[in-house]
Amino acid sequence: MKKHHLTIATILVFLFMVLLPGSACGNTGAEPPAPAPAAKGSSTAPRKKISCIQDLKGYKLAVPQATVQDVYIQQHYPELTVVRYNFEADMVQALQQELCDAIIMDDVICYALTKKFDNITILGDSPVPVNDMGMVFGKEQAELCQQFNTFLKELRASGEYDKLMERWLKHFDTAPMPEIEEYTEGEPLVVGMEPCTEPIVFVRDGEVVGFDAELVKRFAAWLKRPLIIEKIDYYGLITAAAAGRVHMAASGMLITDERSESVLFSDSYYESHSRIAVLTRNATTAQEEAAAPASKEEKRGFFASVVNSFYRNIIQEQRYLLLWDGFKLTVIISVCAVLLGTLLGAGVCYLRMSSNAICRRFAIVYIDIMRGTPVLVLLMLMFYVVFAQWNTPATIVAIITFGMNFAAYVSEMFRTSICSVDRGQTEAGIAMGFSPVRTFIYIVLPQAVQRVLPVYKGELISLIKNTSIVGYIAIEDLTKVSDIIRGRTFDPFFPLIMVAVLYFLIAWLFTLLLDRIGRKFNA
Amino acid sequence: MIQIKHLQKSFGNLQVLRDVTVNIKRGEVISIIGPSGTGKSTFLRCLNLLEQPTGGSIIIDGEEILSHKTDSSKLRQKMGMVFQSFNLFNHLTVLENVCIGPVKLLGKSPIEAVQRGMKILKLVGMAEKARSMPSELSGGQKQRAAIARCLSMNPEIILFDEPTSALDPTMVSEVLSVIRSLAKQGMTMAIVTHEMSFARNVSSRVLYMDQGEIYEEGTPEEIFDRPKRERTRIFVNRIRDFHYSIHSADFDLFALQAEFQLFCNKYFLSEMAVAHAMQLAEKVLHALPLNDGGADLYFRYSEKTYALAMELLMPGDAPSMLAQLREDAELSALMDTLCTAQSEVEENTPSGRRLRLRLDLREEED
Repeated sequence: MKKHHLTIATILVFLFMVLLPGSACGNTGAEPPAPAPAAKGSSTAPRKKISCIQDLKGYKLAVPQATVQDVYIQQHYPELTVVRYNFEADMVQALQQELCDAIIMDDVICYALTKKFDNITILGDSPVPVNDMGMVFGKEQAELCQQFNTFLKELRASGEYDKLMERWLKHFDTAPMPEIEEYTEGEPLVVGMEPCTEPIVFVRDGEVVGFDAELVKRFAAWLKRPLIIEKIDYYGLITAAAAGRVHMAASGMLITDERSESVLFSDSYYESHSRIAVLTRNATTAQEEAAAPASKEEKRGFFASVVNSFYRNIIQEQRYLLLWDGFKLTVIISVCAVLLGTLLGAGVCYLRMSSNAICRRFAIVYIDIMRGTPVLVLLMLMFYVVFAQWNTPATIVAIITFGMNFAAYVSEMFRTSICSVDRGQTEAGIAMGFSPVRTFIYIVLPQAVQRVLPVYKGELISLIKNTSIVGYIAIEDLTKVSDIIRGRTFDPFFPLIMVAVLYFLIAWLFTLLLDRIGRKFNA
Repeated sequence: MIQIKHLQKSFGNLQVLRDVTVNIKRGEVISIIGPSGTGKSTFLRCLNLLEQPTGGSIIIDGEEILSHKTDSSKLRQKMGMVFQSFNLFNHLTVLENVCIGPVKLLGKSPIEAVQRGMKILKLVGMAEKARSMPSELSGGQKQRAAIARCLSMNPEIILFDEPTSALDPTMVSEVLSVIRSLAKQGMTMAIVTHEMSFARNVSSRVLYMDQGEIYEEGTPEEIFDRPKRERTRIFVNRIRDFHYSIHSADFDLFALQAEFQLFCNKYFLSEMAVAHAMQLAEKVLHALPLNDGGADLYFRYSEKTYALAMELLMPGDAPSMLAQLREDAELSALMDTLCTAQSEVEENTPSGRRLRLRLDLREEED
């Protein structure tokens, strides 16, 4: 049995390796994409070189979804074909794979990219007007916002600001985080950040570093308050600040009028010029196809590049520790949600089968609502609305939400399996002298459990996989960890494979456990 | 032991038990017979409160069990029940089925329960199947296991709810012989059954139930051989009725013949019987003055004795039909040929004058 599963796992991993060799080899840093795109190019009309945004007509431009750039390009260059991503690493990956022809991002990010990949070129002009980056504060944090502005002025005046800029914009990959005093006493400053973007804020050696990260740390030290960093999805940051989940949020947020309606922005701490990045060989500024930089990488071959990818994504900076933490969190959330959901589901099932019409009605409404709402929406609602005022830890919110959702599904399973036990069984138990409750426990329940286990197992596995969305509410689960790693390495292969294997492992362990329980009931 | 007085049970507007009064004494084996849908099973289920009666009283050993004070679970432990559909606990082996009650309800140790369980299984011939799951058993074996499960609780009375109705004919006897051996050991039992010969051989008393009440009760001989009341007689002799209303002398003979033919086909009567009966009916009806209010023609066929009788009912104070028929020499001769000798009965009933002739169905010898 065990061996059988292990074999499957091995086959699965191998399958991924074989199916995605392009991504395994194609992302080892400076290497240009596999030759396939060239063939693609020759089959269609010869491609025009790109020098500015006007040249992009007929090409695909990737933009970060729902950002300043996205809105501006939509309004001013409606003729362009735009593809939207919500994760920078994905955009870079898309560019490398030629799924798009150009990407647009804040210049700091673009500079970081060119430092990492020498086959990417930044076009000269900024197609989007200058935007200011600001720290985000909740509406009731006006005082804190003022304090930050004062802090920023002092920082600029002392010249520290320029050093900070220099450090992270030019040497983000090597620059050490300076020693900054940390306070343990006093009310903590809770800051929301998405640590997936070099050089603004990212994770290195398990520590949150980067331009914004240092700024925030210095600010906390300036306030003489301990700092708590909540890792929240980029699209959840504004909501988190507006809902009072965090005191402030920082992740290279651009100041816009729309955002200003729900949150406060600090003074600008950086003027961001959006830039377009393309592959060097598609840019007019570059010399014709310089093959030189890539040759050394190509010689390494498939196996070596897999090993290299594994090293960079899993071993380097002890990233396996990140994965291990994510794994633990996913398991904790799954186990607790399953336990809670099963108990709650039994309760809902009891109400649903009750002779009291009001109880029944309540259960039906509950089940309908839970099954009719996407669990992601429910999760956000619980985190940002229902539990926002009590400042409940995100993990607890996730457990409660998934438990509630799980309960709705399993309560109906419980009900059908209980109903499927022949009425005669209950009658025989009662006639023998068992009380109704004991009849249920000794006669009906064992038979119902036998019947419900196969479907219950399926629902449980689907719950485990569904927990991959908890990243939206600042939980670093497995999926979120893979995002964080991908944000650094721009390599989708190993982080995703590792995560897939780990999810599979969790599901498999749960299945084993349930099988054991099932056997116990059979015996 | 059990006194039942004016027991009533209705489901909504449907009154299933109208008024049942009966006493059950220790050691009695009581068979409850009667047509389907007359409340036999409901009566049995009221006894152990699987159904809550809507009226009347049940007194067990001097204690009224319909009061709220009764611990119905305790009561049921002393009252075993065997179901038509066996209802063995499907997730337990035969032995576990037999042990679960003593262990969980009577507080016996598992070892003790297993030892006794095996003894009981031996008693019903199921010891060999002790480790089998119910799904691996035949119907007869399931029912015997169910009886063993009942016995494991040491009941004072066992209620059998049509224990053989769901069984193949080949398996009926193995279950009946187990019940019979219990009867010999003096177990008090109430058995709802359709097995007439079994009811007759095994029981000390027979209750005939009809339309929600006990219509007639007595010893098996009284009920099966000398039933006092009409519906009992019809039931125990398994009498099938054919009825045709005649309104005038110009009645439709062919329609009568066609309908009677269908009736005979249904109960496998011979062609000869059909021919004789129709011949007799035609002649008799022609000989009688039917224009004063018509008549009702009945044929009654007993599936038990295979006897076919013709009955004529004339309303009012009609003069003797038999005398009129015997006036006609030819008809009189025909009647003597077709009917069993000395079988004519003529009597006055509240609804008119009734003549009964029994046809001789013996095959003619060459």
